[in-house]
Amino acid sequence: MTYEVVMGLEVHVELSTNSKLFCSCSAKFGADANENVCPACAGMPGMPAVPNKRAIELGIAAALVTNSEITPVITFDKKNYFYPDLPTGYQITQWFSPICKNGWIDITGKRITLKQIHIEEDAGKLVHEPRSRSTLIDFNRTSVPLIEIVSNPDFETADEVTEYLEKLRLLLTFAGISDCKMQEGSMRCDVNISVREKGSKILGTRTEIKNMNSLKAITRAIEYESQRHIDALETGSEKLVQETRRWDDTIGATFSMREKEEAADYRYFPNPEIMPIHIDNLWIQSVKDTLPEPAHEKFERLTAKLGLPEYDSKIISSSQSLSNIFDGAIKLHNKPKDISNWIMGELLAISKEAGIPDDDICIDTQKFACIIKLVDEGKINRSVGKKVLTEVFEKNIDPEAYIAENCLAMVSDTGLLEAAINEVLAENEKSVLEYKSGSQKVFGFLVGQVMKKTAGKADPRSVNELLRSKLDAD
Amino acid sequence: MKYSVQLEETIMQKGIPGAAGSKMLENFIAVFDATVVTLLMSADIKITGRLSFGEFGAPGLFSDQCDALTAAVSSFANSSADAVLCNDYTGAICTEAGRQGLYYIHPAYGTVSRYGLIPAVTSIDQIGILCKDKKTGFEIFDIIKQEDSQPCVRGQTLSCVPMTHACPQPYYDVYPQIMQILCCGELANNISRYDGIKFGYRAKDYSSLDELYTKSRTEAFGEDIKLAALIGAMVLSEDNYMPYYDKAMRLRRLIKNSLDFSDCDVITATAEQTSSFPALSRLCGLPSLTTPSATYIANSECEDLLRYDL
Ligand SMILES: [Zn+2]
Repeated sequence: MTYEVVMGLEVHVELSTNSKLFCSCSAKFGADANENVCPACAGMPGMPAVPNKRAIELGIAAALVTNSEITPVITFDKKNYFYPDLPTGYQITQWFSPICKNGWIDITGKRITLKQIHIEEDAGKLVHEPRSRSTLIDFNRTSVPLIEIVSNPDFETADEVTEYLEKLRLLLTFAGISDCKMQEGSMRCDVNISVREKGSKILGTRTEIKNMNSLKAITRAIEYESQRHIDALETGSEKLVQETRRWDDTIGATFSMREKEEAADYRYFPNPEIMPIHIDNLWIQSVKDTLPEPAHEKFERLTAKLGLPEYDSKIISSSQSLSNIFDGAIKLHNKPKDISNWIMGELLAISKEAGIPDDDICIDTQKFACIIKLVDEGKINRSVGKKVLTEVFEKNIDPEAYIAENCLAMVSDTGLLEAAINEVLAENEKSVLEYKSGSQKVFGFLVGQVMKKTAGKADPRSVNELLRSKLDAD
Repeated sequence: MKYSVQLEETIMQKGIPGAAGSKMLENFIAVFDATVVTLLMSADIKITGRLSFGEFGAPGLFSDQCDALTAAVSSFANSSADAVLCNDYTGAICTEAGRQGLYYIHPAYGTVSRYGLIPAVTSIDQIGILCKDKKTGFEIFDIIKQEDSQPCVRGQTLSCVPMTHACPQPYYDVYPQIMQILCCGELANNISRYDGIKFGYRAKDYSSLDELYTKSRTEAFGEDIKLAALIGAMVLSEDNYMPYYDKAMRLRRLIKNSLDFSDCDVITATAEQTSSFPALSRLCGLPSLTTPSATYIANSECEDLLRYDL
């Protein structure tokens, strides 16, 4: 019998705000335990919740980049449950009127539809200390703003899931909505999965998988869990129950989270403290105006308008920092192909050597453009250009001053070049003879010798021409 | 200013245990001053003490019996206080104030900051002024009101109509039920932060997280609060939300919209209507003034209501 897998995704993404959703504590990751905590986010009484405007704007931005319908009047509601990481005993979320509905994201050959996106506050973090057999609570993450992006059950394969997550990550990082770092927990994904006979209209028993913190883990978890469902259906080895399961990446299996299995009734009700918030077209437009060009549109522009190769365009347009460098540089030196070649060639080589990922490359675009311009104008040659770029990359030196100080300007004075060539020819009589007897190989060697004599500053093209005319004339 | 004021225990003062009349918060020391405390101190008003009107601020959730004001009455008698600030979300305090020959000024919802007030029923919570002398009360109100609340510009003679004229009678019977549903729902939610984990009372013996929660709350909350928490959980539960909580919210809106101020400025009510009158002002967020044993409300008193934009 053949089976098909049906999956829906719930993706939690932390919003890139400076402060938390309902207080002014810092929302930044990486502080010492309980450093970013005030009476409000510690759940003390008497601190009214005041929503962070920026978080709502990032919610609007998320709606815009996912083609969603924005709700004209949104509300914040309370979800009640007891857990030590939840200091107030309730989570403020959007249950009755989420920020948007009915969005979609296209992946290869398929449109994934979204049920809704809602804004909510994160919970704290429990740290288990096995040695003292105790559990500690870190409230830094409490009330950090999140959006939850809920898809419809439109996924059939793990590849579709990873492509969707990659696409979502791109859309959200580009728009500055979130940094989407799975390792740091600023992007988290729960997968709802069920398996049914191919062609059947009825969905099978659904389980929810949690606790996967990489795309690889998600793929493995989906493969494991769908196989578990198929085995259960085929052999009756176990009875499938609707439940939440935790993925264990080291063991490579999912486990039932029994403690959460009691039927949860969250007793949602509108938060009386926070008035309904009106989102009018003016506000939406002002958020729209601040959004950068989406990655797929950037890709289109790079390939169709600027004529760059697809491969280069894909690399540049899928990294926020590379596309910023590219766009910054073409403004100063309007040679898109040259700039793309320098990014793909020299810049990525230098950064790879330094072990810096594409997204974290940081360089002064003005200096970057300046180097390319100097090369294009024949003021320095390309290898000097790379050397200067390395200096800019590592020490942020001033390229023009550096070139002047180190006398790196290109030697195109034919008198000087001729003198250097004559010296090389005189010193390498054997090679000259070999060239004359038909060896092309030594020509390259002789060019190299001339470059060495001019400390790499000669214009390679002039050296080529002059040397060849000299050798052929004799 | 020459006045001295006492605070009901739900109004927090930095460094002072804010017990809120509950064993749950016996050892809880407030870490900041309520806005009203800051305002009183900057106006040089002496805060001469704290007293409790009941667990989490007000009695009367489940009964009309109220003996909470005994301490306040003696404070007024021995001149240790000119006014007491409290949160009369149930309406029991203002009703009792009238019986005790006191005034109670209940400002419009939101006119006095809730910052630093231990919450009970957030959509009703409102710091009001219990006083012996009306003029003193209004002067204190001027000090504690929010900066952006504007004084009313209407100065003409005011017309008063009895409650029976201004609001549709069919709703009278349901006021107490609506109050109870909304109050219990919100109160249950507001006290969910007291779980024995971070601060407040924690039971001595427990062997699981659930037991820690259950024992701490069972041992520390009083009977009325426990009942409110149970009813609150019931009316907010998935099955009961629509027939109870949602319906109560709809009725509340309906009542507010049905109030007819087209030919009057002030709605008056007498003692026999007291159980529904405070509920009306609290459900609709309206300001109200309770006067001692008045059989007739003078125009001057009504003018106060408007002039001070309660
Ligand atoms: Zn905080």
